[in-house]
Amino acid sequence: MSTFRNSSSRRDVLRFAASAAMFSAIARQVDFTRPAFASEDKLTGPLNVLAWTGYDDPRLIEGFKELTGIDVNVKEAQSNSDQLSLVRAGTTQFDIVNPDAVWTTKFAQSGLTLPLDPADIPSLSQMFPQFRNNTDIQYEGKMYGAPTRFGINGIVHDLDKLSAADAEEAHVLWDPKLRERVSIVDWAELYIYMTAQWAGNPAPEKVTGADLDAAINRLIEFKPNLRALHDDLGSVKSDLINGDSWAVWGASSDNVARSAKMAGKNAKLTLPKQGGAMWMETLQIVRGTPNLATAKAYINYMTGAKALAIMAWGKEQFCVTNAEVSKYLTAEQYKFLDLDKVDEWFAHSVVAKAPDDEKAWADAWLNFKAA
Amino acid sequence: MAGTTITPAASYGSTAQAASVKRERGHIIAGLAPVLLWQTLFFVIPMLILLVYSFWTMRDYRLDYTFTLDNYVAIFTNPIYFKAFLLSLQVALFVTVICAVLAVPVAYFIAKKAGRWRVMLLVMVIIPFWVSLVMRAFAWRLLLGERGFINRGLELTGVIEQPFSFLLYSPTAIVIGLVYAYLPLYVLPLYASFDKVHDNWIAAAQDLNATPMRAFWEVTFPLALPGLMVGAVFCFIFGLGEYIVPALLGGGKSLMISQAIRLEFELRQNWPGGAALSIVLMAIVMAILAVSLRWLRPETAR
Repeated sequence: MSTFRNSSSRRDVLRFAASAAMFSAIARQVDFTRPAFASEDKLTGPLNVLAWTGYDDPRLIEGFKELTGIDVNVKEAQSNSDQLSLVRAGTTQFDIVNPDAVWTTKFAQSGLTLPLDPADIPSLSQMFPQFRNNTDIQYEGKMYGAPTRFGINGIVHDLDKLSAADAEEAHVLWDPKLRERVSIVDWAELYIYMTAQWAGNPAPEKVTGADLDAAINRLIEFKPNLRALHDDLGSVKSDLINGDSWAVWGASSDNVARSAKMAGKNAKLTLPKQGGAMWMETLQIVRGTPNLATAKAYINYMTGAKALAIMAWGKEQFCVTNAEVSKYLTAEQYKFLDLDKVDEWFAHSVVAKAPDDEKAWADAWLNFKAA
Repeated sequence: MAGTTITPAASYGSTAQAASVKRERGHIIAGLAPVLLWQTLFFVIPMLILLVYSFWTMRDYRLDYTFTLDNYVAIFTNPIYFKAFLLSLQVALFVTVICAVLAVPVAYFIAKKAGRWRVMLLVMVIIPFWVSLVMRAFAWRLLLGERGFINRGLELTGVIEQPFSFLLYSPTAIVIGLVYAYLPLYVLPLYASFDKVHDNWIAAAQDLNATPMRAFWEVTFPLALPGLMVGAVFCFIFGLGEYIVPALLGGGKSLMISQAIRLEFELRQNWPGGAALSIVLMAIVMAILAVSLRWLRPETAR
């Protein structure tokens, strides 16, 4: 002690005082009431959401803030793989991601998302059961994704060039009269799934080996009729509207048909008698989020009828999975969004599932593109 | 020894010279430092990361850090990748040749005949770079589509009755888009080369009874070859890895190597596979650069 006393000087005292002041200043910035990881109870924020376009609607963000007092930052994702890459890179700590249901396994298997407790999402009970019970939102028996939007894939066609009666037969897409007149998007799983479905496979997601080869060969036979294979929905829509293509296969057909009609095009969505295929997107919680309670609150809010009605009648106009949005939409809006056709769609189509053998499907798609 | 006695003045001179050399070296290092730093941060390090990734694999959507050459074996044994590389090489070569044919008269005219319009013409060559390539490609869609300005114009003037569908989403569209995108890259170095050819040399050739055409082919053109080569290298290398134009104007109907790389990263989530393809593409580009540099040095020295 004497050594300490002897060696301490006024300068040392000042240094200790400065350190104490600095510690005290830092301590004031830290919320010691908040657990270091995954706060369960307290709503913390801001919430970082990585999502497809449409989630950045100011009305939705304001609505959540009014409800919880938490700000939401939405970063727009360009694709499912874009979301996977960004979350995996971890440069930004996202709390919520928004992949399609068929990507649930990839996210969960990569250890990037957390399972959800259905009890935390009361609005699940308002959803069309076909979405709520879909196995693609689950991984190892646990629910990982809460469904939000969906769409159906069939054939959208220019009625001046292709009649509805003709479009009811899926094989019209291979007809030489549509040579270089059909546009599609770069959506490997969808086209392989639908081709296998139309070939009569009862579980298209399971096709592999010779059945997969047959599906790809059939797709390659379609190539002479391919006008363009686009990376984005906008290009597919403008092809149809500008007359560069006479038909669009897939590409979220109901949405393409809506845009074409709004642009004054005499276009129609027809589900071929061989069936259509539906898709849906989900909200999922990113593993390691420091805002777990807020993330759960956000999912509950966004899957609710009011928020999904805002989303449905927003700039993108996709269908939504909550059956009670009719309370917040006018009859015309409900009809324009084709939500009155949901039962009919379910009767004539299935919700597409993720392929069992993803690598084989990816290889097959590469073959199709290179052919 | 007496003859080699160093006087104080000579000693001072050599010290001053050494200091001057040292100062000059310092200036060179200071001048190069930002470029080296930039290249290290944004080229060398990313390429090293890609190189390291290319020796790993993906298993269940997670990286497996075991060293392997499997990705390279897959590239060199899969005919699809070979086909994609070949198609990219063909397109790049074709576009380079067309750009060369178009760039020579344009650059020559600007350098030797444009007079006071020279600056304005050079600005016009550069103007397309003020707008992003994506926007320019979309603009070409508006021009080349069935209801685009070109088809509409031809229909209105009675030249055609039905619109040409081959103008968009076709190899023709890819070539038009790439030539448009890269022609300025060819014109600028070629212009610089033509500009360096003194008018006196051309006049001397003509004094010796050479026709203007002969003077061009035997004096001007050989002296402008370095510019021709630099332009060719720019066009070819950019064309080889081009993604936007084939996707937007070609309609994505044929697989070029840039699209194959994207598929590996995105669809297959196979980052190591995509990294290996990128490294092979980079190696091809480096090889082309090395060959052209070997050719360029003696040409420039001459």
